[in-house]
Amino acid sequence: MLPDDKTLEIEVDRQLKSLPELPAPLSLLPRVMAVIAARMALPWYRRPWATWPERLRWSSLAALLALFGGLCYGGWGVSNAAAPSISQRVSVVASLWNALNDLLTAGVIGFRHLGTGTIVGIGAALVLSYVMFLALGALYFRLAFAPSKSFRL
Amino acid sequence: MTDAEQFETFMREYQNMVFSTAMRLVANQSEAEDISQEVFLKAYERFADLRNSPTVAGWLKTVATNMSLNHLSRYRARWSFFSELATPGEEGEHLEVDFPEPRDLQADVANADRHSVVERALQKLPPAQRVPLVLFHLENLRYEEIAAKLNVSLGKVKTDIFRGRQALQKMLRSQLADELNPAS
Repeated sequence: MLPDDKTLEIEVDRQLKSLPELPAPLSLLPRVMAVIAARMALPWYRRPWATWPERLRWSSLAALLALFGGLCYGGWGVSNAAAPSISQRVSVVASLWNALNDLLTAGVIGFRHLGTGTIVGIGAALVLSYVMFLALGALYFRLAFAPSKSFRL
Repeated sequence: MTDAEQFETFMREYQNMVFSTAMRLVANQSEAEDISQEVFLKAYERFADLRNSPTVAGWLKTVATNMSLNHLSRYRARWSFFSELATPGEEGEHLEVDFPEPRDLQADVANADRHSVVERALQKLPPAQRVPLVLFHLENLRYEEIAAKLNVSLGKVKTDIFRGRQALQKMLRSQLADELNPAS
């Protein structure tokens, strides 16, 4: 007699919940304690920041914030003083950007002249290639992981 | 008692639980041991908060579960995608299962090592079935929570759990028959 879904669920639930805890390998505890001992042997500045003494964490945070503020203020001052030479360099970048823009526009115009048939054909070829790679991957997976039925004892 | 000694005592109390959680999800002893090590190293970083917390067991289980799932998704993302392309019914072998009433099954396993049989059968399940099955029955997550954790659809979770139950029962029947009748 085939059980219904609820009976199956109850039976599997009973079987799985009755399982005791698996014993951890004997090597687990020594491994963890060895890593902890190695970390404790490091000087404080080589440990993760979150494990530093609290006073050091607060003072290092304050120092970083002060450094960040100083860099922002200094950068603003430098940018004001160096504005003329920077604008000269920026104009070189602007002309490069214009050249790239012109190339892109030419590419788009050329693409539009290809014709609908060519565009559809290129799109179809791309989709077929993608599907082919998916199919090859699925075939490989099934061949590699299929259970062997010919060697059952 | 030093911090290290206290943590060692703490670890002895919970290492079996953490290892069991990882082992039943990844079904590989060395990977489960690596994950368990990472869980306890994380616990050590927060030991000051955890040592007297009433919810430490739940925290350890949650971290072990999440680390195991991350491990599985990191190394098996491609294979789980391709496994979804398999035709229905292949992963769970035969769908029709004829097994006896629970009362008869319990009578049959009286002389067998039932727990190890169930563990072996669970580990033999493909990850796509084993993981949601363990999350549902052992971690007591709801279907929606499992779908969110595994980033799959609700329908797929229900289907995989159903197939996992069927495959588990079929394997248990087959393994118990082999153990009770070794000559055949």
